[in-house]
Amino acid sequence: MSTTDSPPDDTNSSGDLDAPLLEVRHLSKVFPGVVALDDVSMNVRAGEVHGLVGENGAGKSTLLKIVSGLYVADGGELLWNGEVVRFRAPPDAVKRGIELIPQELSLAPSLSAAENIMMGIYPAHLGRVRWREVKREAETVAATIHLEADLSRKASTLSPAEQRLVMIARALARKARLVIMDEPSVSLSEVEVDALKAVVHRLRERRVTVIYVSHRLDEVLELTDRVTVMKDGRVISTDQTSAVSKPVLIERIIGRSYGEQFPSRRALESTSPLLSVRNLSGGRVRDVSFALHPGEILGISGLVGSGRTEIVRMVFGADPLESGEIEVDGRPVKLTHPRHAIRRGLSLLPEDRRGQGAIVNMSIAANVSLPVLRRFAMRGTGMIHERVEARAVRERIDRLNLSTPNVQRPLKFLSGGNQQKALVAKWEMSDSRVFMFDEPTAGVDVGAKQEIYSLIAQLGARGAGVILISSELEEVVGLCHRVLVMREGRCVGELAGEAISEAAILHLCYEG
Amino acid sequence: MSVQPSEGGSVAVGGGGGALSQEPGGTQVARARGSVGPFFQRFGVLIAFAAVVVFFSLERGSSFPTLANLRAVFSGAAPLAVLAAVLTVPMMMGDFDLSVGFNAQVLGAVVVTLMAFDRVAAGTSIILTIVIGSLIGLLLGSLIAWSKVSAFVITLGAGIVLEGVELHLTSGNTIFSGLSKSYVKLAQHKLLSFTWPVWIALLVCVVLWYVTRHTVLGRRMAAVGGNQEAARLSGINVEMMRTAGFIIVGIGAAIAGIIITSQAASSYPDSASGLLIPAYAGVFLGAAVLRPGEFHIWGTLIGVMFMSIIQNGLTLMDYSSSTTDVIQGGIFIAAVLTSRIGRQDR
Repeated sequence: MSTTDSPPDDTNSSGDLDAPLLEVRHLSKVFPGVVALDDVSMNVRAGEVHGLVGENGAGKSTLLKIVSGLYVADGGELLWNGEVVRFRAPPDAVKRGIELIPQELSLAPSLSAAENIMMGIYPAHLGRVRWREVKREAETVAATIHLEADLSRKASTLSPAEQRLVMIARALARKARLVIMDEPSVSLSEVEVDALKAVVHRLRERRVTVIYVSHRLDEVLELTDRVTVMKDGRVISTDQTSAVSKPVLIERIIGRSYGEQFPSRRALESTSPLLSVRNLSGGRVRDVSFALHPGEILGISGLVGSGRTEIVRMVFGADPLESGEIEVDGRPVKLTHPRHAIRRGLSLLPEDRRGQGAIVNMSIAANVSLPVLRRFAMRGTGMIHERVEARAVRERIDRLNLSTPNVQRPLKFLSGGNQQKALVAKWEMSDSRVFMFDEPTAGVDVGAKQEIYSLIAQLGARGAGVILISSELEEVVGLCHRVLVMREGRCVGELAGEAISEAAILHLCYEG
Repeated sequence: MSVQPSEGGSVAVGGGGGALSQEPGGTQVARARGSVGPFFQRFGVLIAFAAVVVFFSLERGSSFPTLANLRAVFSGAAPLAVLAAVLTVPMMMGDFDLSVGFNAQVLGAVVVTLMAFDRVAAGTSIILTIVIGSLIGLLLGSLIAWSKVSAFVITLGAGIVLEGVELHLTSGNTIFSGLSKSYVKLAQHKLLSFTWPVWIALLVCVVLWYVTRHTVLGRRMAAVGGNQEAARLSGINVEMMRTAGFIIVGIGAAIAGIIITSQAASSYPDSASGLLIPAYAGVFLGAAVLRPGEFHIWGTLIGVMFMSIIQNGLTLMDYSSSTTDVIQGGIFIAAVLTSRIGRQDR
């Protein structure tokens, strides 16, 4: 097979963009206790890049899962090329050229990139796979999206960005006509996002229709032809992207007017540092020094893989450091396990919330109280005073405006933003004074992002120190008093106050 | 290695859990109430259990549903219940212990040889055996937790070692002379018409249930089982928790070995080594009961009783042991499948 020529376009020979390739009419879907989709109608035109935005829980995923055959709708109909279709399972959708690229990277880690791209459509002769053809065809597809990685490498050795591209290549290899990308830019650095954007442009040139789902509105505004906003299971609007602006989209998404995005920065008093790190080395990180003062929000910027996460993990005692000194409140400390760091008032909210930050099947209360469980236990026996614990947890999370009827519910039932709040409550409970946030807004919707920003600002206002790692430069610029910029494991620059700007940070990232 | 039963009840969005969460006072904090699945997932195995009981009662009305038979079933199941209950603890953290059968076998031989060959008093022998059991657990557990080699592999090897040790102790003989009378009596004492081993097994379950559900240790173990990395980043000493799981298994293996040798008034070859598979059958059946997808002590106990009742009923119906095995295994699979009815996998 060959994928170099454009996918066939049997409906419009003239190549006009107006004929809907996909149309949904009056779709509804109910799960026990929630109406996920409520009379949803929209269409996607052949050849366009269609943005789909909305808060988590707005119904985007449910809609996409119906379109790609993972769910069956309770009511309404689905039209493909003007024909009513019924998808009972994903293969029904794949057969027609609909490919969903999920948010999570989902490659077979021990197979090569080429094998992943060609998975399920291996060219074979008499049951014997022709590996040379597999490789050649994979390379042809990869070339169309400028995926330059060595395709014989195992998927697990590729960077997240490369893995994302392999997933896109896989969809193209199967002659996708509609590619649905769910949060494709999560965990990609700025440069990698640029590469992703280029791929989307290339898909459009090749008349592959794209549905682009993202919380990053700048990307949506830049890439899409039209954009649809969903809220509470309904479609709020569909517009030409050129006719809307970011504030307009945000207001529609959160359903109320949108104030100042970032809380104002507080002035710092000069005090002795809470945390000082000198000549820290380990892993990729080489010779990094910095200090963090009470009330200060310190950003650590840099491309993904520049050593940002390694720094905070070492400071937290989660990874061993090769050399360097750490002082908390002016006293040198040796932190060889997170529990030592926790005892000194440090906390880490890791990037991968589900994988490292939270125990999603445990209750909210159990997650929040975990580091300080002893406090609620009877001395000597370890019996937990569960009522006292629940009350204390309730008090903490109320203060953070985390509304939940029941602190005994598993954490997984909370939205991403609320999970993040619960984790902040957990560290406040353990009297943390240095909060290290690694990508706190990854995969969090617009409304919740704002809440996380004000949460971070509040922590500062209360005299805690905050370290903020974020790939969204806007956040770093909007929140931080000072920014360290990392490149290849070294700190290549420090910006403070007025000098902090996206341009200045990017300049240091690439050339500093 | 990570061994989690796949998770059930994924679509319960505040639905089924609601009624249960009305419980006043908010006790049982760690319990994830919202995760309880639909009816069949929670009660499928129990329904199958009830059906089996009704069937045997109808088929063998004079022998099956009698107190005497119940006593026999419970006494016979006691060592298995102890083993399965303790195995549930490391399973909550994703750790298998394949050496548990041989462990119980060795510890049974230890307690008997202490009395028979070394003339140690019964009470002292029992205490020593339990101490040795916990030391074996400590050794195995720390080896597994700190080496990061999978428990499956290390306990497989340990099982072979323990089998050799047992052969060395007993030379493959049945040892029955030299046991003190009080030791043999242990398994025959009765309380409220059931023998001591039944109550011991029940006590082990109650203690383990309490520890796993309502103590700091249990909560930390649950955290390790839920997400090892998140637990570590919350300050929990993951290695220590996993080791504690194996120490609990070691103590349980000692108790099971003592019950078996006391019941048999001897140490005989293969008295406990074959209990590994039935014990795990109980553990997995238990993970399909009440709180689907989770290993828990009461589930395990129900699983063990289910398997024991089937065995007992079939024996009363004069099936040969080969037929019993086939039917027992079949019902085990059917029961687990029942708990999957109506389940939506995503």
